[in-house]
Amino acid sequence: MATDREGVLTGNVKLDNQWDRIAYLSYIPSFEDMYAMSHDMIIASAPIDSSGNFLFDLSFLPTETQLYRIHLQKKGDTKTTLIIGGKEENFLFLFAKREEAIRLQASGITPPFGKVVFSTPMINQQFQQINESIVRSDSIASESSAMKRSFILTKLEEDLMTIADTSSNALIAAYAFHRTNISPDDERFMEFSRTFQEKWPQSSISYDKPLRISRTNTVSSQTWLIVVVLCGIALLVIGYGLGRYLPADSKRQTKVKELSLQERKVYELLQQSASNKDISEALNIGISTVKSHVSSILSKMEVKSRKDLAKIE
Amino acid sequence: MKMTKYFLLLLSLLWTASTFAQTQVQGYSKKQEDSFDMRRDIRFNPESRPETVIVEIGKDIQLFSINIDGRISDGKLMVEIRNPSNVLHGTFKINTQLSSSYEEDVMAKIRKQIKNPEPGEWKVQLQPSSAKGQVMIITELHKL
Repeated sequence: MATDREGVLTGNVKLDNQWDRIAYLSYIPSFEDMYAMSHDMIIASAPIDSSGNFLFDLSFLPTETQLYRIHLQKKGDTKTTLIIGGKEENFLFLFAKREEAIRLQASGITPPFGKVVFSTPMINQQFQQINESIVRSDSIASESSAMKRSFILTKLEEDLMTIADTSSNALIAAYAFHRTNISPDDERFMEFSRTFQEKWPQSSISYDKPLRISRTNTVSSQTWLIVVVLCGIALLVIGYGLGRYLPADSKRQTKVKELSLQERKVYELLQQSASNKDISEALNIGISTVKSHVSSILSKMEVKSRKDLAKIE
Repeated sequence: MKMTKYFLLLLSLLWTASTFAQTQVQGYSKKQEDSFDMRRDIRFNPESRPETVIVEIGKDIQLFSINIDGRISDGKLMVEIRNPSNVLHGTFKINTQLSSSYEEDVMAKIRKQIKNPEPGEWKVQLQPSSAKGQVMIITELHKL
């Protein structure tokens, strides 16, 4: 069944009897969806013959290179079952496009796509090298002490960054960078995003969208931060200015407004230097009530004595 | 002669009893001292909210094995495994929302074995979105 005919994906896989003899091809719209599964993602299926050969017709695919996933179905599972990790891992990622001849040979049994070699095209060979390097590092790291694991993962990140920086293929560069797990908040993300966009100013692929959006988002978030800080400073200056230079009369007026109706009547009499007895008779309230009002007025007007109140114009 | 018979009978009883006792102790000891298994079944309905299952890993744990099986018949479900440093160790998303015409369930499984896992709280984050289905989490912790 092996063929180099354009628009065809041919493969060979060694399966034991726990697998159904059918392979599924799914479209993966973004790197974030690599471990997603839904009915809608499955775009084709192909029978696997007794020798393990299968063939997908790619003539209906878009002309741009996109990411796809081939997966197998374990007996008893549904066709929309993804098994991640372990001896039953059931999938393989690859790049493909219309009018392309793709050939692959999977030599593992547990898991079936444990070791895969692509004869064509080159992009999948590079892609496979990245994936194998990640699996190898993860495997060594999982067997190691915490310190050694940290060294291994740092080395892996460096290797991925080297591929991302030096690859002549935008998809490979974007994928290698995606696998570094460098967060968009990290300075290295912004730096890579900038150089990536300089290298590939216009791209027809959707997989580098996070790298292109990030720059706008980053600039936007920085702008927002600057705006917020400037507004804060402006409010502080205005507040200080109001407190410092607001006319005294205006301040007093503000304070007078805080007095209750009865307190204002008492306040007016106090300004005329009226005694507690005078106020009591004028307003027809008890002396103790007058004293209470006076105390409250002194406090609200922020003055120490009745004399100070009388001085207020 | 009779005495010898009685003696042999008593001896065999003693041997049988001690062997039985040893088996019991070994079985108990293995389960209690060397490994700890946990299984959790979580069912979702469309009103279910995100949930985090915490697996506490002690300093003496040498092997941490975690299997997660997610199955939904409706909605979306995202599952993530994160270590105590919040590093992602596995994830999947399953989605049926765009395919209401299908009745078949959508499934994803994670099989993960981590030697010398980072001690602390490992988190399995479950984020259902109008999901109908279930998640089964099986963990095994093996001590030194």
